[in-house]
Order: sequence, then structure tokens, then C-alpha cells
Amino acid sequence: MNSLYVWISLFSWIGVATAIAYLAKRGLGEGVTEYFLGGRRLGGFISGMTYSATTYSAFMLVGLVGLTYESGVGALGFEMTYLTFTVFLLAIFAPRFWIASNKYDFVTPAELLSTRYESKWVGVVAALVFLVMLVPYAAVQLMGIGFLVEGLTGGEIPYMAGVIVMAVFAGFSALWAGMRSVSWTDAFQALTMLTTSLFALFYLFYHFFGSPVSFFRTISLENTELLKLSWDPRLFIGLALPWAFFALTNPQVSQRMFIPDRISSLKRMIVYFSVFGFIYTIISTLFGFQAANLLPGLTNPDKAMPALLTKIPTALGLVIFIGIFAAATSTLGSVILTLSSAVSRDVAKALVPHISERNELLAGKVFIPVLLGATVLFAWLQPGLIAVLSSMASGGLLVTAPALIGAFFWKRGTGVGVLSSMVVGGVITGLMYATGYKPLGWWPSVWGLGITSLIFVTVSIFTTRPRKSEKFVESINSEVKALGAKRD
Amino acid sequence: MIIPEILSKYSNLMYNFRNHKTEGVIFLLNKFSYLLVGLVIAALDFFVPFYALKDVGSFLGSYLFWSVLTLTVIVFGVLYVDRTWGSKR
Repeated sequence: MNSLYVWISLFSWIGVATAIAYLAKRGLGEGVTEYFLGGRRLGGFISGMTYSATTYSAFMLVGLVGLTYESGVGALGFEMTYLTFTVFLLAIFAPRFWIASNKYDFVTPAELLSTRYESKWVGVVAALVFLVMLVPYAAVQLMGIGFLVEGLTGGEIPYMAGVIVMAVFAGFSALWAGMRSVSWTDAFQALTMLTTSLFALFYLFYHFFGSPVSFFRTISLENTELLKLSWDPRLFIGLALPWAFFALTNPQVSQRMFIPDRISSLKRMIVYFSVFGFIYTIISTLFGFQAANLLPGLTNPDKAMPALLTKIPTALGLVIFIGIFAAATSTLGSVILTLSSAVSRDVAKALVPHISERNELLAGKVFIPVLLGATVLFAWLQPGLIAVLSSMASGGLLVTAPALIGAFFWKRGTGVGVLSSMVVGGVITGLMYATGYKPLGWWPSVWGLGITSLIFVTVSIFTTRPRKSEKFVESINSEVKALGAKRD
Repeated sequence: MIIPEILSKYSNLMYNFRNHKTEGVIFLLNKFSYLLVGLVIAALDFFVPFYALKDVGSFLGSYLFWSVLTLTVIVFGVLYVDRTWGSKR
């Protein structure tokens, strides 16, 4: 594909997204909550779309397509497992996160932990875990676009050019108006992702297979092996487990439970996200089956989608490319903004309690370019297969799951229990990923969750319970109950 | 001891759902019940495709099962939200 077309379409789309960000900025007020949470004034549609665009990234149309291309139906199971448990967890935790954030004025998920467990170090360590684990995850988004532009233009646009353009735009949209610009552009990006991919999917159905029905028939006859479950069960659990807890452990999505303006908007956020997620997952895996049938024998499965794009007319290929760029950019922008809020609130404010709100915000903003530099460096080094790398990030974040669940459901959980579980569990999980060591064949995420839970429970039992933990848990639960009672 | 207790809570829960009485539902489905529901979903999500449908080479095998399971959880999840905390007021 001609690189000029790619540049023109890319900058045209960036122009529209920038105009949306400009409109969002007009409503921006002063202060940390306004900047990082959009003043908790977002409606159900924008909240649902930003949740979707933040969650679904370049991994879907690059990594998941490749994974389906290579290993078939197991890839769908892995992604549907994520969606199933996200809906399940949101139904239970979303009202609790929302009520707690409004009641205590939380800006970040780590702040929730430090308040509940009455230890500023809990917040600092959680913020550091988020930072360490999310840098590779953010870099994966950049790598996805780098691979894509390179593959699409036959190397005319180098990998690093794609990486840098995306990093600059994501950083700009995060810096400009914080959560307002990120969530508004996310909504535009989510709609772009869904419409462009649906359009291309149906083009491929009709152009290469005759119709959707004959596509399903062709795959059943010619790619039967991909429809049989060939995954090692331990690989499936190892990859799916971190993603099952993604809604709680990934701060860029759990922070989105803070932003809706009212409880009915929170409900609509869940509904919109569920529908979006289901459709987008089906689309992504069907692309994988299409690529397997049309382009057999690719050595790098991550190149399946770029290769598929070369089989379709230039205009349509560009449309899909923009959809993937939107997916990756929205995730990157949200991750960067969430991490900068963690630096601002969980590190700067926690360590210097009397810091002015202006300086607290400044600390977060200054960190945005620093963080982007780190992710670009990581993308330049290009480690591993995209799917495994993404999962490793979530695997590391899994060490925060027991503390987050315990925050609302176990009054006995203590700050020392949280700290020891996150530090020891994090180090052990990180070492296992780094060395590739899998005791008894089970993945580091499985061991990480087990060890972290065990340490959290054991240490908590033997240490002093936080003074106000009972009040915290009971007040949140009674407010959730009151919401249900209002309907009667 | 705990099983009859959970069964009794579920029968109350179903009664409340049928009669649109949601007061207290959130506590009927308490933390142990959440855990139980989560474990049942996890067991279905894993064992059915990996053991019952492993060798079915068709979209009507694991592909359909995982899609239907997810849709079911979405429908029941939204229903649960709507009838417990997702009040419009």
C-alpha cells in the first residue's frame, strides 16, 4: 500500500480526533478530580465507550487475530472468558467502587486501597506495581501499530515512525484536557473501531467466500482443525486467569468505575460495554479464521492482520488501519492518563501531604512525557509475542486482586497483609515471567494469584485490623443495599 | 450445613426476582454466593470446551458454547444490575 495514502488517512483522522478533544476541553474545570476524572460528570454512553475503547486495544485486531490464526477457537475462549468475568465483576464491584469514590473523593484505585487499609505505603506500592506492569502493556499498543504500518506499506513507513506518531498523539490527547478529552476521543475511537471492522469483515465475507454462510461452511470444511480445541489447558488458564480479573486489577479500567455522573449511567456503562465487547470479540476472531483460510503459512501470526489488509482494496484497508490505530491510541492514552494520576495522587500527594492541588496536578502532567519515553523505548526493543506480553502485564497486576476484593468483602484484611502480598507476590510472579520458570507446568499468573492470596490472608490474620475497616465495608455495602431498595 | 443455607437463600432470591422484590437481594447474594456463582461460571467455561467439546471441528462446538455462555452471563448480569443497584432514581 502506498505510504502517502497511509499518512493522509492517519493525519485526517487525527485532525477529527483533535477537534473532538478541543470540544471536550471547553468544558474542563479546575482541579485534580476535574482533570483525571472529568469531574465525575460523564454520562452512560461516553463512560461505556471509553471503557470499551480503553479495554479493547491493538491486541484485538493484531494479537487476537494472530492468536486465532495460529491456534483457532481457544483464542475466542480466552477472550470470551475475559468478557464473561468482566461483566460478572462489574455487576458486583462497580457500585462499590462508584459509591466509595464519591464518598471518599478517590481519584485513583490505589487511593481506595490506601484509605481502606489505612496505610499510605499500600497506595505507593500499588501505584508502583501499576507503573511497572503497565509500561510493557502500553508499549504493546505501540508495537501493534509499528508492525501494522510496516506490514501495510511493505516497510516504506518504518516500524518506529508508526510508534512515534502514535505516542505523540496519545500523549497530546491525555495532556490536553485529561479524562474529558481522552473519554470523548475514546467514544469516537470506539465507534470507529466497531464500524470499520464490521465493514471489512462483511467485505471479506462477500468478496472471498460468497456470503457469511458460505464462510462458516468453508472454514468448517477446510480449517476443521482450528475449530477443535488444541490449546494446552494449563496455557489457557495461565493466559485467561489474569484477564478474568482485568476489570479490577487494571487501574485504567477500574478508574472508569469512578467517572459516571450517576448510578444509572454506571449501569448503562456496563450495558454498552458488554454489547461492544461481545461484537468486537466475535469480529476479531472471525478475521483470524478468514486469514487462516486466505493466507496460510505465515511464519509470524502477528502479521496475519497486516497481511489480510493487503488482500482488500486500498480504501477499505485504510479504513481498517484507522480502526486499529484508534483502538491502540485510545488504550495508550487512557493508560498514560491513569498512570499520571497515580503519580500525582498516590506518590506525590501521599509522600508530600501538604502539596498544593496545583503542584499535585503538575506532577502528574510532567510525568506524561516521561512515561511515553519509557513506552517508546520498550517498543523499540520489541520483546516477545504480543499476546504473551499483554498477558504478562495483567499477570503482574493480578497481585493486587486479593487486596481489591478484600477491600469490600473482608473486614479482617490489613495494610501489612496487602503490602507483603503485593511485594512478595509481585517479585515472585515477575521472576517467574522473566526466567520462564513454570513449576509443575503451571503459568506464573496461577502461582502469583495463589501465593498473593495466601500471604494476604495469613499476614492479615496475624496483624492488627485497620481501625475503620468495619465502618468502611459496612457503609459501602449498606449504600449498595439502599440503591436496590429504592426500586421497591 | 452451608449447602441448605445457600439453597434457601437462592430460593428466596428467585422468589424476589419473580416478584420484582429487590429489597435485600444484594445481601441475599452475599459474598459466598458470589464466589459460588463465579466458580460455577469458571467450571463451565473451562470443563465443557476442554472435555465435552474438545474434538468437535465445527462452529457449533466450543465456538458456539463460549459465545452462548458469555451472552448468558451478560443477560443475567444486566438483569441483576437492573433489579438490584441499577435503579433509575
